Parts: sequence; structure tokens; C-alpha cells
Amino acid sequence: MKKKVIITFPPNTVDKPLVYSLMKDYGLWINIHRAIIEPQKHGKIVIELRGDKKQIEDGIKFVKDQGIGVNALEQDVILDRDKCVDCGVCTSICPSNALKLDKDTYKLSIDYDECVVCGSCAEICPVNAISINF
Amino acid sequence: MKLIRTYDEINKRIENGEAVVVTAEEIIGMVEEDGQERTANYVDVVTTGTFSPMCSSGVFINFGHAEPPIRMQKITMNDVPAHGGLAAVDTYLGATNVAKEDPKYGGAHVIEDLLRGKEVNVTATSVGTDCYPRKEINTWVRLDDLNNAIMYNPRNCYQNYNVAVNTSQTSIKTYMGTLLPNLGSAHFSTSGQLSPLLNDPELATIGIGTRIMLCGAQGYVSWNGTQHHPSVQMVNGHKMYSGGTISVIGDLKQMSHNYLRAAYLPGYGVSIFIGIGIPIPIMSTDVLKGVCVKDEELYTKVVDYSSHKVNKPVLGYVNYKDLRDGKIKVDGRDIPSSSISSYAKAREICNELKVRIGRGEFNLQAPIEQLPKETMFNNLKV
Repeated sequence: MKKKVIITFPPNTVDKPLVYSLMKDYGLWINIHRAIIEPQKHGKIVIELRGDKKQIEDGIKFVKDQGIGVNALEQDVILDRDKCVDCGVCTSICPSNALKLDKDTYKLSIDYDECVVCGSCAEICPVNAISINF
Repeated sequence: MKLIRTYDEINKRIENGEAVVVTAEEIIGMVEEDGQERTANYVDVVTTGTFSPMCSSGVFINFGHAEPPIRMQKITMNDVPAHGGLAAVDTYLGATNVAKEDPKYGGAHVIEDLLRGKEVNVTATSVGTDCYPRKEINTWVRLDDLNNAIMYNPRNCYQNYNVAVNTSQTSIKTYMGTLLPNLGSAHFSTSGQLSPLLNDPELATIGIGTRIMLCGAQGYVSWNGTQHHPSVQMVNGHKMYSGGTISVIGDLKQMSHNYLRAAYLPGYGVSIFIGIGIPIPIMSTDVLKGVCVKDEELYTKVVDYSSHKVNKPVLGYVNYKDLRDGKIKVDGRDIPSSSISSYAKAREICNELKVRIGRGEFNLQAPIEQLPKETMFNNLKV
């Protein structure tokens, strides 16, 4: 299975070789979609973990035990349904096809399995309905 | 043209709760099943709708007089300049005016804030006159405090609109949204088969005085819109109508923020989503022909917005079915397409209008005059 999460490093943990440990110690395949890591500042990585269920759970537990935050994308990429007017202009801008209008209702939804947290949608949304904590 | 029913007959049926009212989407299936002739015999009204950014919008406001009174000359509402060239406490707040301190907040946001019942800061200065001695004012108002808040939009409801694309090598920021480089995205802006003026292509029933649903309130078509310039051309065996516009009027106090929303388009500025529903009376089979039009029969042109010219290059013609399905072909290339007009909201408006007519809360007003066919559409001399 695969799971995509957003990992947030406090400034004092940026120097830890986290990705190495996840690969070597937990046998996970890693795909990094987006990363901001600068010395002395908090860092963020959008990361996809591939492995069996236990490997992923153990890997996430290991990361959390280091004092590093792990969020599901749903927690950091938020579509405000009260603000969204379902125009769907974001759907052609989204590079990973994560934003779609339902074929029957024409209402917008985010497919978090596809989202790479690039932030393009939040930038162009005319009614400021999408917020990204990255 | 054979007349099937009159406005009076339709209004009588609405009053008696007998009118058959369907949306511009529902009528398509009905005509496919029963044929035009038969459907025209039992459908009284078809509802159409749109929900799009429409920049040429705003509100006339009368604040009421302060003690001592002021003749407002320079006016702001939540830091957004409003027009000071009318009578003492009248103003026009345009949707696209922006706040001095925040380019992402504009007249549209003030209008939405008023509609949501929020307090809005009003400042004004004046030279002071014998009859209006006060020279400045700084106060707070709510929509309920205003004597009048009359939405008057000089151009709304474009019959048809361009698909915007970008052939340059960098993203461009336009009123149609941010367009990705090298034909990376295509943006369109009508509700197609639900769009009011595309469902009455010859503008037979939509004219001056037509009663409409404007942002959830009863409003009226007040005149043709600015730049109204109807035209028709043949594309792929279909008539492509475009250029019709209407100006509309209604009472902001009766409106709902569900059908009006402030918008900010990065790099362009502030605009406003306006929701409009227009009922079309099925007076004849000719009128029915107009309302049963489908997205695949409605065409529009693809325009290169990277050109800085007024008359931008047209790269081709596409239909609304392909646009809405999310992919169009231009010069043999597939381009992802998306709409800046909400189909879901347009549908909600059609349904809401259908319900109101069905309940007898909304009846039809025949146009007092047709919209003009021949109009001027000049460029500005430099």
C-alpha cells in the first residue's frame, strides 16, 4: 500500500537523516513530492511512503517519536465548502489531476491520493476557498 | 411563428399552481423523448441560469443625511473608493474598485460584506457648503441602515464568451484566471446549455422589462448591456450566437450571498460572481427550439490571450460539451479546459427559479421593448 503525508520538522530536527532511516530501517519506498528544508528553520516534506501496512505504521511512529509532526494531507490541504462556488477553474491548473468536478453534481472535490501539495489551486482560487499549510 | 400561449395565460397557470416549469437541462431530455411539437404543447416555462464573474456590476447607495449634513465628495467604504459625483449622500460603489491598502479587497467584497449583515466603515470628505456644512465624516453602516442599495449592473450575462488560452512561454494572469504557458490550460466562462441568452438566441423573450432572478432577488432587465452587439455565424453546421448582453437592476436588500460572491483574480484584480436566473416562456415552437439546445451544439471561439492586441488571434472553435468534459483540441493538441463560471450554481439557480414559479411566488413579465439588433461596437481612437 501507499500513504502520502506531510512531515513537519521543528528547526532542531532538520539535520536528522529521516528519509534514510525510513528506507533502511523500515524498508519503505520513498517518493518526495515537495520539500522545503532550510537550516535553523522548520522544514516540510510532502512524502509518499510505499510498503506494507505495518512498515508504514512503524515508519510513521518512528518519525513521530523523533518529535517530528506527521499530518495526513486532509489536515494541511483544506477545501472550504462554504467558500467554494464549484466553478472548477482550478481543475485545469492542477498538475496532478487531484481536483475534479463530479460528473453528475459538478461539485468540486480533492483527491488526496493524487494531490502533491503544489499550492497552485490555492494561489488561483478566485474565492480563496483552498488553503494550504505548507 | 405559431403562438401557443400568451404571457397572461402562463401567469394565470402560475397563479393557479398549474404551470409546467422545467429547467433548461430537463427540457433537453423531454424534447428527445416527446419531440418539439408535443413538448411545446405542455411546457409553459423553461428556467435558465448563470453564475459567473461579471465585472461590470455595482450598487447605487443612499446613506441618509448626517447631523449636520455633508455633501460627500470623496467617499470610501471599508477603504474602497466609491463614486462621489452624485447628489450629497448618493454613491455608486463599483465591484472592481480596490481598497487603498489591500489590492485583494474591493467593491465586490464590500457588497458581499453588506449582504452578510456586516458593518462597513464609511468615510467622506467635502469642501463644505452653506447647505451642507460638514466637511468630514467617519462612521459605520449596515445594509439595514441604508435608505437604498440598488444593484445596477451595466453589463451582465454575456450571451457567449471566448475560451482563453495562452501560447506564450510564461503564465499570464487575466480576468479569465491564470493561463498556463504553451497552451497549458483553457478557461471558459458560460453555463452553456443553461445560459440565459444562449437559450433565447434571437432575444425574442428577454428584453427591457423582463423579470429575472438577480442574486436571489426579483430584478429586471433594465436595458441592453453595454457593448451589446448580437451576431451570429455558422460553425460546424451550427449557428454560433454571441455578443448579446443585458443590464440588470434589483434591490440588494432582497438578495442572498448564496448567489453573489466577491472574487479576486491574481494579477488582474477584484471581480464579482453574479447569479442570474431568467425564465423563458414557451410561446411557440420557435422559442422551444432555442431552449432545447445542448452543449454539443453550442460553439465558441478559442482566443490567444497572450496577444496584447484588442483583436486577439482566434485559434479555433470548440463546443461546450468538450469544454465541460475537461479537454479541447486546438491545432491537433489536447488542452485541459476548465470553467470560471459555476455550472453547479447555475443549475441551483435554474432549480430555485423553477421552485419559485411553481409556488406562484414569481411570475413572468413580457418585455416592454426588444433589445436592439443593430448596435455600435467601436474601438477607442488613440
